[in-house]
Amino acid sequence: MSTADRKAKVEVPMMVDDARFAPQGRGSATEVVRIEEEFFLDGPVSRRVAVLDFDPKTGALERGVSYISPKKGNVLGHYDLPSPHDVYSPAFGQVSVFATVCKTIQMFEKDDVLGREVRWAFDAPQLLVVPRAGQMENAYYERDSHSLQFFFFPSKKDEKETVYTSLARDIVAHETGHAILDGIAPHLWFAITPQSRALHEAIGDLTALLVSIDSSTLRRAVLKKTNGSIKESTHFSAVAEQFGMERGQGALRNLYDENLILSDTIRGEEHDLCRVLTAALYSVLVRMHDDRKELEIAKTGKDDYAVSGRALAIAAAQFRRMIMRALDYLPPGEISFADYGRAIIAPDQAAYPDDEKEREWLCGEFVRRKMVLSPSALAVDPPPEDGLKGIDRQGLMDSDWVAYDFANGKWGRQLLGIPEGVQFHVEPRLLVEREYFHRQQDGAPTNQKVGECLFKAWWYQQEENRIGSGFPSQRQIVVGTTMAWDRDTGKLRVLLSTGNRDRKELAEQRQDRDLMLARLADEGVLRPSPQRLGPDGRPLRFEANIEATGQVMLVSNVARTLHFAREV
Amino acid sequence: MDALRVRVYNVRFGDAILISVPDASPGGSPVLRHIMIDVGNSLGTEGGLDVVFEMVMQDVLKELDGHPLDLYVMTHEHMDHVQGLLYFQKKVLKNKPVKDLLDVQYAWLTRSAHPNYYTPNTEEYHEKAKKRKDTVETFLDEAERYFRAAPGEESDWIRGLMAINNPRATADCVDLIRGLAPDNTHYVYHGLDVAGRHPFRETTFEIWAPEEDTSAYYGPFQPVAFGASPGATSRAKPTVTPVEPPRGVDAGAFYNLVDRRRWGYGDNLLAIDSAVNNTSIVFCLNWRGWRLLFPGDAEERSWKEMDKRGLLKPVHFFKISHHGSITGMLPEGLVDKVLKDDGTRRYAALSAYPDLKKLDRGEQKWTYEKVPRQEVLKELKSRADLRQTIEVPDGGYIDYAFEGGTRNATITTSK
Repeated sequence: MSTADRKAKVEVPMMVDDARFAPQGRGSATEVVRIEEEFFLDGPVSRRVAVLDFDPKTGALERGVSYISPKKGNVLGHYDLPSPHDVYSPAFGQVSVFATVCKTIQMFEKDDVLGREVRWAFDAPQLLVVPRAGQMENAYYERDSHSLQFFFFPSKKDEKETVYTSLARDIVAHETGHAILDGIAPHLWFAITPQSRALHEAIGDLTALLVSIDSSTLRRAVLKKTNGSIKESTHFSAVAEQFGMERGQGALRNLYDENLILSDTIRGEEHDLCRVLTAALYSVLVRMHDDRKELEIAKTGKDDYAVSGRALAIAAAQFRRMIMRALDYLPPGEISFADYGRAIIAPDQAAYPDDEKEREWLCGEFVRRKMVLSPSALAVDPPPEDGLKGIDRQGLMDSDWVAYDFANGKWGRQLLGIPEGVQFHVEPRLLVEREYFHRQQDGAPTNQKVGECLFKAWWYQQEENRIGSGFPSQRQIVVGTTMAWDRDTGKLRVLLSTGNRDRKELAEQRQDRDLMLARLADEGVLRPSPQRLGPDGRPLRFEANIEATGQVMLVSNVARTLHFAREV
Repeated sequence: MDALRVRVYNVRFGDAILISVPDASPGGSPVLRHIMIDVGNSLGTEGGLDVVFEMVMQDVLKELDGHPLDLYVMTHEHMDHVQGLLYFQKKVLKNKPVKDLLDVQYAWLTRSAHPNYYTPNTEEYHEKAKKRKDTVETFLDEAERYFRAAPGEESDWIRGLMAINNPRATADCVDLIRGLAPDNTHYVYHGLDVAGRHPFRETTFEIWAPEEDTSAYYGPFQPVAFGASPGATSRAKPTVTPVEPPRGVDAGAFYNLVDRRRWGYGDNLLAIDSAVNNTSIVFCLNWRGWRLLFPGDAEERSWKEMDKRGLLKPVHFFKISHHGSITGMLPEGLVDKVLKDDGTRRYAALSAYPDLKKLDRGEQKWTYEKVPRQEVLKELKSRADLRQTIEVPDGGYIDYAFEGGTRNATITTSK
């Protein structure tokens, strides 16, 4: 489905800032989001998102808010909110969460980001959104039920008030970010490397950040408060700020932290690792913003505050392109921060070989924070440009057989790093068309569309499993390669693999996996089969799966342990 | 030569233990004192045969021989540990008070069984634990409503777990135990000085668990959307709320979501069960060079807490926790702290009622099925002389006699 097929349009309100729980003096804020889709129905329901508002007490499905088609001669439909200004009505909640989810999806689909429609990791068209899933201080994405579930809880400040996580834009964007990333890199759902799990969390946080920056209301409010800077704790850098305040704490995480580095004590802790990654990237954004402000000041002669809004919009768009587009280039399997760094650098390097400034900032942050062993860990050798010379590239795109046959051949295995004799899988190829911005000699921007084909192959690698008795002595992990080529020229643009790590990096990651799995076992969410069956004979819902064949185990569904509550 | 005797009864799936200890009277003359730990068995399964209680209690009375029961210990509030006395009083004694018959001098109950433990504005109140208890009770109410509305969904195991963890079902049993020694009932936890809270002069007790704040024993727990509505009247049968996919939503995905939202109840039942098990009083009894450990049904979280506090040390006798389940077993690395593999002769007793037919077929459908677990028994057998109550008839016992001041122990069984 291309964007051209999305003929229906609606404008729906979205809660940007919940005044009831905001610090004194901060007003309530909503914004209107325009959504284009194939169709809209009561709910709201669209082709890709459906809000299902179950009554938390009885389980009955509440009537969804009605969709009103556009009047004749008009193209814009709307949802019929009985009390448009009552932002705490169930109807507003249904519409607001729908708007936030759709806005987040749209952000990923922009021509200069993924340049394609997002797809889900599950085999169904719709992401189901449950705005009142039950009472708990939590929200999560669950692949198995194709859903985002948002819970609610009594306010710590006033127990009569209820905090709905579905009304918190950053939480909704964060969870939608998980769902989108799961569709882009489904192997991360099964990943057992702490840095892979941290990446899932980090993308959630960064999605929330970018949705916040995308709000002109918030952008204005924050820059006014900080006199044009994003260096301190603000709506942008504070993740789940209201949620944290309502629990009697501060924000769950603060993205801005110049001192956070990856130390041995946090190697196995995905939430701490996530903070390191997001802090590194946020610092890059700060530099991009400062740099852009300088350019704007030089160009316009205005002061720092006056140019800060425009500079932030431009810097954030560039930042978004870099960090989100990279997700498509992640090689399948267990991902390290270095892999993600390379996935940011590789397409950027292909598009802007002579403009290294942002890449250098990124490398600097990754090295300074000890996220990579050395700067060379982020070096991306350009792939052999003629790597696909003489290969039936159209066949590679169109035919599973041709794609597999190529990967199985001598050159294919060599190019993709698939060891001899190892069985592998080839994913359906992905065709994208992305916009790249360039600057002409006179400084004027120009854009260029690049059509790419993404080719991903993956296979299993076996390694020692040192997590204690009761568990098999070996485990399988997924590794793989992503290859991208220019569909017009046939030139290879990106070639990244998790299958050819150097020994030191491999040993370090294996150790990290041991640490994390041992911790999960210690917490009781990873148990040797068949302990993990419930009294109804079905697998326990909130635990990771282990499939064991002899002395080799394969862990899956680890991602679910990230979000589920640890205690009653 | 005096011997301390531990009598472990076969009550099928549950615990009942009598300890007879040569001790001294206040005047210093020899006296035989008795401790009873728990009487109960599981509900609704073959392991829950009630007639064993009469056999066990008659034997206990015979052993007391007209003397008082010096100390009664209720390890935790699970039916397979508490229901025996109430049954005996109601069905056998025809409501004649069992406390009069046993003449209990002191009673120890787990700290969270204190009547004020969940009562705000009292000294014993624990807010965090109360919050968790409320969550659990809400869940159990909703689960009960759902299973009444959809009886086909309930298995024997679910029924058993629901029953064993039903606070309303245990309330009467625990009330009776609270009243056994009205002036000398103590709610015990690690850190409580028990000196003066028992009549023993020579014997000493170390309380290893539970912690006073039991909230730490609760594991992962999630709200579950059962989707059942109460009936129109309090007596009316609840109903499963009918739901249909709205227009434009795929029916398969919709019903999958409804099912998944309900699915986590198995996780929750196990979490609740573990939390209560972990409130078990775990005590080590020291007598004339012997060290005996009675951990109730303590599970992994409690063992780890005890280890964190440096309490674990080698013992000569170990009542196997939680009927030989893998979750009740000492976690890896801690086994050697309690059952040290150093050549010392050690003893272990298991009270369980395995479904032997399933064992033979090698089937296991879920976590607690096939308890005791064979790998647990194998590990224990490698470290201790292991005896199981199923080796003796219903209501029978295994007797361990530990000679004071020696390393001699003998084991006998009832016929």
